[in-house]
Amino acid sequence: MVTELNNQQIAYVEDFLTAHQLDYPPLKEEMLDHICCMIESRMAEGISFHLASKKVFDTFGKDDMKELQDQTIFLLEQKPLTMKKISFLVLGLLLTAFTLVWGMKADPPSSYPLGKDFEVTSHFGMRLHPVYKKKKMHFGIDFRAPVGTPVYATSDGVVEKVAEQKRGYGNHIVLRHDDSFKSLYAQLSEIKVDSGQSVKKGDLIGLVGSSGTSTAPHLHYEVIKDGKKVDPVNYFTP
Amino acid sequence: MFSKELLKGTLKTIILKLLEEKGRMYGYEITQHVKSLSDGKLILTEGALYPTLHKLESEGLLKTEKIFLGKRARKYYSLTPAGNKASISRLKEFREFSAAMHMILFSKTNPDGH
Ligand SMILES: [Zn+2]
Repeated sequence: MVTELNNQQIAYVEDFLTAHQLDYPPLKEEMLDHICCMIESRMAEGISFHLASKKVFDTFGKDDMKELQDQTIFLLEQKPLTMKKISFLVLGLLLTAFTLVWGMKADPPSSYPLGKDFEVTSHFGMRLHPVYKKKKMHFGIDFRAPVGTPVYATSDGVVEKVAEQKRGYGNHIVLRHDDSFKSLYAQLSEIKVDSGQSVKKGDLIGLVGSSGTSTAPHLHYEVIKDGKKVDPVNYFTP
Repeated sequence: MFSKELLKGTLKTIILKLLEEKGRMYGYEITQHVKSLSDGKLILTEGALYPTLHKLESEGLLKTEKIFLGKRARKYYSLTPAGNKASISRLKEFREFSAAMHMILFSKTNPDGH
C-alpha cells in the first residue's frame, strides 16, 4: 500500500523547512518532496503521520538545512577551473610522479663488494658443488677472503632483509637498490646493518665469514634483477 | 559506513553511473538506491547529495524535469550527452585509480627464495 501525504500534511512539512531557514526556492521545493518521501516510507511501516514526521525531523540537526543550502550555493558560485589552471595542475602532477619514479632509480650494483684485491674462486654458472659434490647452478660469485674482511654495499639502497642462519647462505643481507635491482651478500661472520636501514654505495654492511654451507671463508655475492639472479660480472664497472 | 572524504571524491561518479543505468531519477530515489546497492554500508545524506546534483546540473552534465503531484513538485535528473561522456570517462578513471591504490596498498614484494 502506498501512503501519500495530504495537503495539510505537506504544509506541515513545509513549515519545518521554513523554520530551518531553507529559503532557496529550487532547493526548498526539492527537499519538501524528499522529506515527504521519507515520512511516507516510515508510514508504510504502519505508524501515524505524527510519529513518522517527528522521527524524520529528528534525523536532521538544527543547522543541517542551512548548511545544505549554503553548500549548494557555494558550489554553484564556484567558477569552473580554467584551462590554464588545469594545465598547471597536470604539470604539477606529472612533476610529482616524475620525482617519485626518479627517487626509486639507483645505479645498478656496480662496485666490487670487497674491493678489487680478492680472488674469485667460483663464477656464476654450472659448477661441481664443493660440499654436495654434484653439478649445481651457482647463482653468484664467490670471493675468497679471510674472516673479518669488510663487505661494502655495491650501490645505494635500503636493507630489505637481514638473516642469521647456520645453513645455506649462512648470515646474509639483501639490499634493494630500486624497483628492479637487489644485491645479496652471504656467508658473513657479522652483519653491521639493520633491516630497513638506508645505505650508500661503499658503506660497510658486514664482515666475511663461513657461516652457512661453506668449506672456507668467502663472500658469496649475487645480483638480482627483476626477481632473476644474474651474473654480477656484467654490472661491475672497472 | 565510509568516511566523508572517501565518499566526496566518488559521489559524482556514483550519481552519473546510476543515472546512466536508470535513465532518470529523483533525489530521494537516488539515496534509497545507493543504500540498497551497498547493503546499507553507504548512506548518502541530503547534505552531500543535493549540492552535488545542483553542481552537476550547472556544469551541464545533468538536465532536469519537474512533475507536479498536487502541492508537491518532483524534480527528475537525467544525463545530458556531455553527462553521458563524463560518466564513461569517470568510471574508467575510477577503475584505474582503484587498481593503482590496490597495487600500492596491498601488494607485497616477493621474498627471495634460496
Ligand atoms: Zn657461492
